[in-house]
Amino acid sequence: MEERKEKEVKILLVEDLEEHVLIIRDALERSRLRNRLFVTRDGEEAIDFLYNRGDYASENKYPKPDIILLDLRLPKLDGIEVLEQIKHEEKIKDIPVIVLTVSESDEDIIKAYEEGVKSYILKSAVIVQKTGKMEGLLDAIISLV
Amino acid sequence: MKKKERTKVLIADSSPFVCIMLTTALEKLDFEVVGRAKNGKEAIDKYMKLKPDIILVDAALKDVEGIKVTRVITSENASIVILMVAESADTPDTIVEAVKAGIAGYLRKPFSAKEIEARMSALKKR
Repeated sequence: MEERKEKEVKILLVEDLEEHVLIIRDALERSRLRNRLFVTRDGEEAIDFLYNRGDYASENKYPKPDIILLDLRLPKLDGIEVLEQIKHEEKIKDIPVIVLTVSESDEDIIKAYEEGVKSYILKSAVIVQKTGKMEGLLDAIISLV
Repeated sequence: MKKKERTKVLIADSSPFVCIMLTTALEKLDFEVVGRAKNGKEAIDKYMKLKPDIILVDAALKDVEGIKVTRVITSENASIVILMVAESADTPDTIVEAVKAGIAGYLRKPFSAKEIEARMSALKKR
């Protein structure tokens, strides 16, 4: 049977905490999923990336991601505002969003669900509880959404 | 060198198709799917017997609802990771309640799992 080369998944991580960026980057580097990770550190930067504006103007260098990993507590523009902008823009609204957050607030959960996120995961499951056992969990979620 | 122990997953979903799809996707990523349960009671029984690290629970399991399954299991093991599989019919309130019951998050149907679709269609063509 012909060997099919697995497509590279382009992931945009929107996360301001350096420690969490490192953990996620590390997990994705060892992942069985072929992936390319882009990181933006606040909500405004994420929107610039997605609209190819400012420092992210080059579409070749900063292509449309296949998946967005979005933290909710972000400087400048918070995660829920980023989500609203994504879901109301024709060109990018179909990109699956996985919210990765510490927030268990009813308001965030409801808003994210109403905005159609594909997955909402508490960081405690994939980052804080990093026992090694949970390493592949993020891969699994990314490959299913 | 000792082989790394694989992460054990229990899948509780009333749809055999969803179970097969999730199993294929997870095994490809080197998870060990230790069991499948088609209803809430079976999910609790299999959890007790198989002690998985992760459980994927359908929110709409027919007899004991997914949220109740979560409550029973997290009261026994607070550190277990339970992910709920949500459907479009589930309301945000269901999700809020599930988070309070101790789930680590949710995944929403339909799954795209393009890899699975490609494999299924390749099989059909044979």
